[in-house]
Amino acid sequence: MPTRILQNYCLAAFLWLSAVSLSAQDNPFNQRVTLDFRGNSLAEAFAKIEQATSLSFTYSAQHLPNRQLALRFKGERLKKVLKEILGDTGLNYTLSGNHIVVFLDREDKEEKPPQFTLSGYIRDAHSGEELIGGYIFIEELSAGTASNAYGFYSLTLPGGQYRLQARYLGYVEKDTVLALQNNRTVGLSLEPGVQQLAPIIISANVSNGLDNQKSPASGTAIEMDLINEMPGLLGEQDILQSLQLLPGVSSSGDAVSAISVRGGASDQNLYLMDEAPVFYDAHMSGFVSVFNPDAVKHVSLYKNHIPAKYQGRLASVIDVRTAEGNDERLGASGGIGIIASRLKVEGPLLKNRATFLVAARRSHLELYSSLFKSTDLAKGVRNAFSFSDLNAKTSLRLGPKSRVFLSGYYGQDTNETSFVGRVPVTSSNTPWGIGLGWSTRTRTQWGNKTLTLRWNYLFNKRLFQNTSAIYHDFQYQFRESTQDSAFIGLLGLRPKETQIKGLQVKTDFQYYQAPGSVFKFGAGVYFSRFGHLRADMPVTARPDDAIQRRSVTAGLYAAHEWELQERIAIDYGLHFTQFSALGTGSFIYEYNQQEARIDSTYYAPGQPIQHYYGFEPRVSVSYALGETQWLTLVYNRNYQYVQRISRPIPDDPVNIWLPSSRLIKPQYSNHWSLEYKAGIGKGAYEATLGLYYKSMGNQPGFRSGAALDGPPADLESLLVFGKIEAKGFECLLRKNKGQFRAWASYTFSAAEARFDQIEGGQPFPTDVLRPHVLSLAAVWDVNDKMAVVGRWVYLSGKRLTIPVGKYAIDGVGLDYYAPRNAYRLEDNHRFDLSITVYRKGVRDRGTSLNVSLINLYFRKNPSYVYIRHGLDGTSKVYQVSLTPFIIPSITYNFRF
Amino acid sequence: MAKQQNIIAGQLKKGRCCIIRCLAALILILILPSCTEEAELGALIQEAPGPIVVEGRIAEGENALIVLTRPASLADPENFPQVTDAKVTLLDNRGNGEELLHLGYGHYRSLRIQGQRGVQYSLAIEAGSEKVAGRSFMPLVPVVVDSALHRQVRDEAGFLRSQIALYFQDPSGQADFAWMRLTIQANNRERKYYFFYQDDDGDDQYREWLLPLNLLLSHGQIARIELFQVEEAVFFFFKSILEQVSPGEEVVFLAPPANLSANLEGSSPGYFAATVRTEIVVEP
Repeated sequence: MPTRILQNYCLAAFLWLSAVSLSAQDNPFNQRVTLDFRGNSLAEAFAKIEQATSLSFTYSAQHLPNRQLALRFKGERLKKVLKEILGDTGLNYTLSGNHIVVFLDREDKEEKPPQFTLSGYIRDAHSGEELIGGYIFIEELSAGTASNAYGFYSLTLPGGQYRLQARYLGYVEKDTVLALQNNRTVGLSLEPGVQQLAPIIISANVSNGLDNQKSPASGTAIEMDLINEMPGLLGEQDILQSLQLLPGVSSSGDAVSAISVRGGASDQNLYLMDEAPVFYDAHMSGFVSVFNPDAVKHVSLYKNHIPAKYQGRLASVIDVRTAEGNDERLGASGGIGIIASRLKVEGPLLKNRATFLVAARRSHLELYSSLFKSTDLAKGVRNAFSFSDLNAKTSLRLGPKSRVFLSGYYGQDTNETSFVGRVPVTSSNTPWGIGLGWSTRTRTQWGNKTLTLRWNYLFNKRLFQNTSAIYHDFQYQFRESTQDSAFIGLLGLRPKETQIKGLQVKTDFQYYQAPGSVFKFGAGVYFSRFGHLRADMPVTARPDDAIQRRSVTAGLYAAHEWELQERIAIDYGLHFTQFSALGTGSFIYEYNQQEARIDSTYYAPGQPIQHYYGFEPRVSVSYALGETQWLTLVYNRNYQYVQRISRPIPDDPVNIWLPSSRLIKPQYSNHWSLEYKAGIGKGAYEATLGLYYKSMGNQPGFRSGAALDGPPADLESLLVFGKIEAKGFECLLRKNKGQFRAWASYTFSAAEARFDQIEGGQPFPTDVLRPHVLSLAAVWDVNDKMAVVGRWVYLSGKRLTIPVGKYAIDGVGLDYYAPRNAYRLEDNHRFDLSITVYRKGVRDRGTSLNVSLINLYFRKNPSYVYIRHGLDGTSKVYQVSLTPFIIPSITYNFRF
Repeated sequence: MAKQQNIIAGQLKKGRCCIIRCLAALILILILPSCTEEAELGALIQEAPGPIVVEGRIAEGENALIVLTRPASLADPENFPQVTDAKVTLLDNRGNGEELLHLGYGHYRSLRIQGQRGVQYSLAIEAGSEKVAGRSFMPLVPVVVDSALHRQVRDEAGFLRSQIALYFQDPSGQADFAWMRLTIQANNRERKYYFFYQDDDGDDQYREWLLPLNLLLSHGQIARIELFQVEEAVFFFFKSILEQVSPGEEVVFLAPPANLSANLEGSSPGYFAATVRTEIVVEP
């Protein structure tokens, strides 16, 4: 019986396949043909088809477009051939007997003229570097687009002749007339120049261009040449300190690179170096950032609207892209400064195919270390400090559609101290019965390592893809060893380590659907490990001395940048994440109100502990009030699954981060902002006014008075969680053109925290709050060879919790503290000046000598405070100014 | 000849070294003075009267004693302003109540109410517009110390130190929290040590509690031990005081500090404890 059924099924299948096959043979459009139409007109192509088949064409010659075909078919079905050659001509066809009737599809013709895609890369004419955020504008259609993070652009337009304008900040605008009658690849090379040179900040939408003021997204790009002209502390120009000049961005203190954006903590900024997260952003505890300006091609700050492709932080994204290296010629540049020197070498590896770049920085503070001797304790105190970093990158073009980039960063700070001391024999209790001499050495090292492998592929003129594999690693190590003259050998070894490692794989697509319409989508997965070890004597660490955490985050996003109408542009998207905290083969504890353990659960390595899900809608709507006036409304929801849990010291390298866990819920924010932008005098002047409101939930904070002298594994027990509300007003005025360029930015902000367990649930100000921040800066090209930059910054004083009195319990004197963050230090302000003299001229920006004078009027800005308890029971609070006097520096920059 | 060349080379080297040192010194003259500058903030801190600081205790069989002060200024840390015009009221859960008598110097004492085990006491303080309230329960079963023993032990570094061992029966059926003050008179100076005992289980076991000292008691020196059995909030309050006064060397994270309050409503630092007090004297 089953055999019979099977036979019936086979017969039925055979009959069905035969019928389909006969039907296919009956349809003349299914016959296969081999034809070569290269160089033929459409009429000639029809003739060739007539020769190859038994069919004939009927058409009106006046409807045929006057163009040559460049197509060839081998064994293709006729219907596909017809579809290809008629393509976007607006013509359609039908079969009547043996005749193919070609007719004008009127409705289609009227609504959809033939569209062609113009695509390519925007490059620097000298170095061949792709330019990020370069803008292409078609004057006749008032349409445009911006190059993406790899310099690629794509614009689909109706056929015709157009005037194409290519612009990029700091480059000479380029006008090209081109006839668009088919899909074209046009590479655009721009000459560096000062024609559009803005002072330091140019609001340029990285993803879609803001030059035409049609983009709602508000990434802010910084011009690298101008960072190099800015006054640099100890001669070191710095990207993060330059960012602090923007409205809404404030510093954590004088000479500290850590920044706070719109009321957010410094760990709520995502630093990306070639897409790799950087978990510690500073050298020398904040004096210099880890981003070597020599190696950096482009910096974008997203603080208003964070595009859907980014995820992971509440306050901002600082996307730093390093240069690929000169495609044209081998070159070197560098600089010699007071505290550090730099060298960069770049050039082609294979002509027009592969490039390389190596940029290194090394401090030479050791020169001065012999003078850093303290006379307090003994003669033998020595302190040596150094930092270094290395950026290396290579890129390889695998073909016209494919390119690979490999970039890496290695940075390290080292601080070594040694101390030789002697204890006189004072007590017979000394176990060895002799006087003791000892030497103690400490060595502290910290730094980041990142490695990014990226592959760009152009599927077609409209679809761009990038896939990245990213590795990052931050390590902090503290080692102390003591040698004793009587007890030869190590008396104690106290390791202390922090490690943050991650591996990320992600892919991003951009589909340029039409002018003013770009779809962006992608997915990624991110594995990370967080660890902190603290071990006392004896050397062997116990399990509770370590914090070990693992997590995996998977994400998907889709976004659409769309010019809805002539006056309305919208960028909307959604990022979805699934976060999982994973076990590490250790116990996870639960705690009571007194921070005591009440329960424990063992989790095997990789075993899920907790899952969290996050939907992050991001919307930005812009409305044109006039030709150069735009109003933009933004709503962003962001999730953050990691937090920095360290001492409240800016740029503290101990830098302990913890991912979300059962106790630590993911941070989230709802961010609204309204921004008005206006260009005046053809872009010579620009004004920006903005309002923002941000509410942040699950914000971690230390329980008041909590101090961990127990095992680090209990760190989470010190945390309490609450809400923070931040709001503010920002404005920026700029003069972009001319020999004298200037800008002024001002921010007024308020931020209030509310934690049930702090201050009895009453609101209190956050420690990053700086109500008033004002920056004034000016660049003056004195002549062709000299530029002078002046900068004045003002910040309200930092908020602190300090003792304002004493009280006693059972005769024990205790500090009486004012409410949390109630005390405000004195306001910070200072004036900096730099003079740069160029050997060949300002335009060339080659060899130069830069003289910087920081804190010109000797302002004693408070950097931090500390308490000194006297033997008589008195306590005094001192404030320390790190830069109370003028700090001069000289840097010689060279290029050959 | 070779020797002379070496001398000349050495002199040149010295000369170069000298130039580098001079250059370095020049740079340092410019940079180093600007490294740090300290300024005392005392004058900048506004002197505002702080809240009432409460030290309130009612011990078993004793009258309540409440001491009210205010924080002293940083410059004069021993001079705590006393609160002499407060109205202090004590109630218990058996319907007794009285307004405490001001003895002077901010000390307030009950005349009728005496501490009893298993009773809950409520304290209310009014001083002008300020109001402070607290509540405390006196443990029902006391920790009774059987004996105390003095020993000499060597510490990790090999020094001889005193150690006092207390022996007692852990009361069953209740969680026990006790803090201990050990006072030693030595060289006309009083030294205080604090210890903490916590037993959440109430497991009715016989216990040995070792109290290590960082000195060696000699003959004639007396260690006076006062054991205060208190409720949980007061226990952790005293523990926090110890942590704030002497944080461990390996404190990795230092949280924003706070004023300590055990069980008081309002922003007042301090405590109100109904306690069972035991005193033991140990002589080596």
